Amino acid sequence: MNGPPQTKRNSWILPAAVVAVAAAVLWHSDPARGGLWPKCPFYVLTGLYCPGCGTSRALHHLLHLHFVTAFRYNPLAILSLFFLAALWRSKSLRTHPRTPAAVLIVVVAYFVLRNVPVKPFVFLAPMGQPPPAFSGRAPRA
Amino acid sequence: MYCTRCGTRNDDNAYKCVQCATILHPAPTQQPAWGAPPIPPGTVPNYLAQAILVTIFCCLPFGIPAIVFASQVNGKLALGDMAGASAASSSARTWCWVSFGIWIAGALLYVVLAVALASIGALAGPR
Repeated sequence: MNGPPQTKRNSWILPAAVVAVAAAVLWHSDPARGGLWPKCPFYVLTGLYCPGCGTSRALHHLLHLHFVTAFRYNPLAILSLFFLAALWRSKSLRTHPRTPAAVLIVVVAYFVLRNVPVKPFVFLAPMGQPPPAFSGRAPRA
Repeated sequence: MYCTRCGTRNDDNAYKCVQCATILHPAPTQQPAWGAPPIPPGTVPNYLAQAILVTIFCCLPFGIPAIVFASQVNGKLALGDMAGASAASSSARTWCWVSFGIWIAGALLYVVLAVALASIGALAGPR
């Protein structure tokens, strides 16, 4: 399962290069303006938001340091960046028996609640837009 | 099993130590029925970070089964169930790759289609 030490040592280079290229592309073009950006297939098929909906738009605004706009597109994506950093830093959080179950509850609850087209929950949807499945409009980016 | 007090080896089903008569079976909450000791957490990777990444950043709900299996790994380790933990760990890893693979395949397909449509448009002449 684990590669030899030589490949292990350089294993960060490819992911780092992919992240750098993705960040450059994301910084350059706003997914909300369409262009080359594809829409999420789950969103197009169902008219519902998945937990990842709005992440690329949020990251675009995060790279431009528009923190509030980034948060409004996908609050959990922004919070998950902090959580991933904590997971990386803290061995006790990483190995705690309840951590994955807590993450599961939060993600599933987020999945359900951000599709509820009512006032407090609608703020979990990208830019506070209720999902097309419940508002009669066609799914748009 | 070994006596917790004097270290004498006893039969696995023994109720009391043959040497010092200490009761060998601890409270049921401490250990599971088959008497396996808890395995230190982190022995088997649970791929939780990767599962979160593919769930939130791959824009497909296939990351959720990865989180489900990730949540089983630590619990099974605490119960001393090494085989179950390993199976859940490899399932979590598989679902991470499924989610990531579908995302990559979709992105590649999209790029190919976009290039194809653009070139057809260019061949058809100016609009």
